[in-house]
Amino acid sequence: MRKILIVDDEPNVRLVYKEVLSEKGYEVLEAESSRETFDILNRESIDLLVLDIKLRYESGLDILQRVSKQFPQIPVVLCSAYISFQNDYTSWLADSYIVKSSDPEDLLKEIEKILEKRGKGL
Amino acid sequence: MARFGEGYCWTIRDDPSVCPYIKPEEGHLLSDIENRIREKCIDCPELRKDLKELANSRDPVFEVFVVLLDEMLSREQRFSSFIKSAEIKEEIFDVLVKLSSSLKPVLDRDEILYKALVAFTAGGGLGFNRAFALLAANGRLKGYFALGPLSPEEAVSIWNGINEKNLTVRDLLKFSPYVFYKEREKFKDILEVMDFDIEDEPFKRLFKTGTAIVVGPDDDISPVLRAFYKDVPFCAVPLFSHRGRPLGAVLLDNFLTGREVSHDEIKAMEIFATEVSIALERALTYEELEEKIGILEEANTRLRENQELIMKLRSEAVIGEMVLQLIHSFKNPVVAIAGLARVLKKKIQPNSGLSKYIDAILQEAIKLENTLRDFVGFVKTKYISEKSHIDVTRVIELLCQEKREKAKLQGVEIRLNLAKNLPLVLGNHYQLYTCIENLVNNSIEAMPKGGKLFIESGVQNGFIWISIRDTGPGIPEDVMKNLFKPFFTTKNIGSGLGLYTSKEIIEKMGGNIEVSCERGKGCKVTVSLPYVKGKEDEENTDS
Repeated sequence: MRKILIVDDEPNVRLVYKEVLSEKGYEVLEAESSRETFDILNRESIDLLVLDIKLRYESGLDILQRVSKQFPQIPVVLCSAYISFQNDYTSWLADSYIVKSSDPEDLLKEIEKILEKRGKGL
Repeated sequence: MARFGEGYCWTIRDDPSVCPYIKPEEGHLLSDIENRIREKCIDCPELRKDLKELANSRDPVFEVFVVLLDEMLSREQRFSSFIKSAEIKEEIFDVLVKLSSSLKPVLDRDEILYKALVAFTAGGGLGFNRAFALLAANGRLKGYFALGPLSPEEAVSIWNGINEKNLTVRDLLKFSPYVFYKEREKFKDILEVMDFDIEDEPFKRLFKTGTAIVVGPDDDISPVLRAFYKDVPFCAVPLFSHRGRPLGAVLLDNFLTGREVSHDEIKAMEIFATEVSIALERALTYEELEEKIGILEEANTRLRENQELIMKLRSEAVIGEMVLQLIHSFKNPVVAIAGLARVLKKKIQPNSGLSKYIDAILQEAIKLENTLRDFVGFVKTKYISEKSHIDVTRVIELLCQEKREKAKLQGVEIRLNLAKNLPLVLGNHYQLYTCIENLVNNSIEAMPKGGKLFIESGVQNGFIWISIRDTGPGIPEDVMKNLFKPFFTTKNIGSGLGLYTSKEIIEKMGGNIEVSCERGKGCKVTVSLPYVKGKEDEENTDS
């Protein structure tokens, strides 16, 4: 079973993602800070990271940077409430970028696409 | 008329025919022999002749009188020449005192040079026939002002004029703009060709020795001067700042009278020159100061204008950021509400009575979500993406104003060399500002031990270019490759979005960023942007 780690400081948003992703057959882990994130990353073998760009006390961008350095093999889907970021910065370190939405379709599609690509690559 | 009857003329009393040198009004000398000898006979060759004859014919003791007479006359001559020289010195001193006091309140260079040349040419003092003043600037010496006659006729008329009007040195030293411009006009041709390198002779020697020099007909000097002076010897006097920087020179000659200049006069010229130098330096400093004050005032006005603009840009950006923050804090709950409603909807039976309530929640949440999305779009357009015609020069000046102090603390000096009348570019003011700010920040940070930051601009092939060059250590090649990738940073602080964002902004404006580096010599970032073609286009591309 593919393991996905959701990093978001909003428990209810995590809940939405967890429901949606579990339903699709993914094992979902949650973290709300960079400390928790790296605890899990160091402990578990994670297949994909869904990362909120703006956490309460930290920047998701900092986490992204550390992840891409320490765990370059883990793909990251970046989520943000800001539609503007997507327009301004397209090809980032993240493998994909989505604007947070209640509709999970975009997120699911991106995850599938990335995992499929990675799966082939491995 | 040595012999006169029985005796000598100098022993005869009360006979008007005894001496041709006694004037009618000096009748008393006919009887007063003692005074007659003092006033007349002493200079009369007859007396010496008589004494010699007496020494031969009567008594050798008369020879003593001859020797005494000779000695007395020679002493008198020396004495009178000494007096004369003292008088000249006194006059020079007098002119010097007057020059000094008359220069004291003057801050105008024309007036100073006028007074200086008057002092050098005034009859009572050094009394040169003619004088030229040259001023030094950027390693060159240029003719500035001259005073004196062009011909002997003019000299006579000038000197007569001064005598008739009984003009004193003090009168002459009074500045007359009329005379100044008239004299300058009169010597216009020669003043114009007097344009020398400070290394040309005799100036090289002049500034090396620092003393007044006499230039003779055989001295090797600039051809222009030789052609002008021909065989006439002239004096050159240096003018120095208090730090020894050449300020100018004065050239003096006696082309009409041919009078030679004494050693004392050369010393006097140097003292004059010191007075003039002090006044001149003061005037030049004052001029410079006035100019700087002017620039400062202008800069101040612009600063005020720019501050308003910065405030506007900043406040608009702040509003934009605030709204985005607000949207963000609405977005998460909405996503949670709508997302969970979707989850719920899937989990209950489709024909359950709860379904319509869930649909309602979902619909409302989606509405809210859409409103937020539209609002973000609006804010972006209004405050972040609004495009206008931008004066890049102003943006750079604005930025430097903000950065200069901070840079200075780090030992970084910002130097601007911006093209004038740079055409406008189209884009978002704030974004462009941020972009150039990023580049400038990077360059400043590249010089932690200080250095120079050159910002230059120009126009080429339909683009304006801005180059930002630092004197830092340069960028290693591996870093170069990743320079424009997002999140790439070598700094401890910062997100690594700086250069990436800059590149994005510039590319969106249709421009380009290039970085070139040389190890150990620093980096150069060149931004090119297409400019707005308009009516003024042709004028601008020419400039």
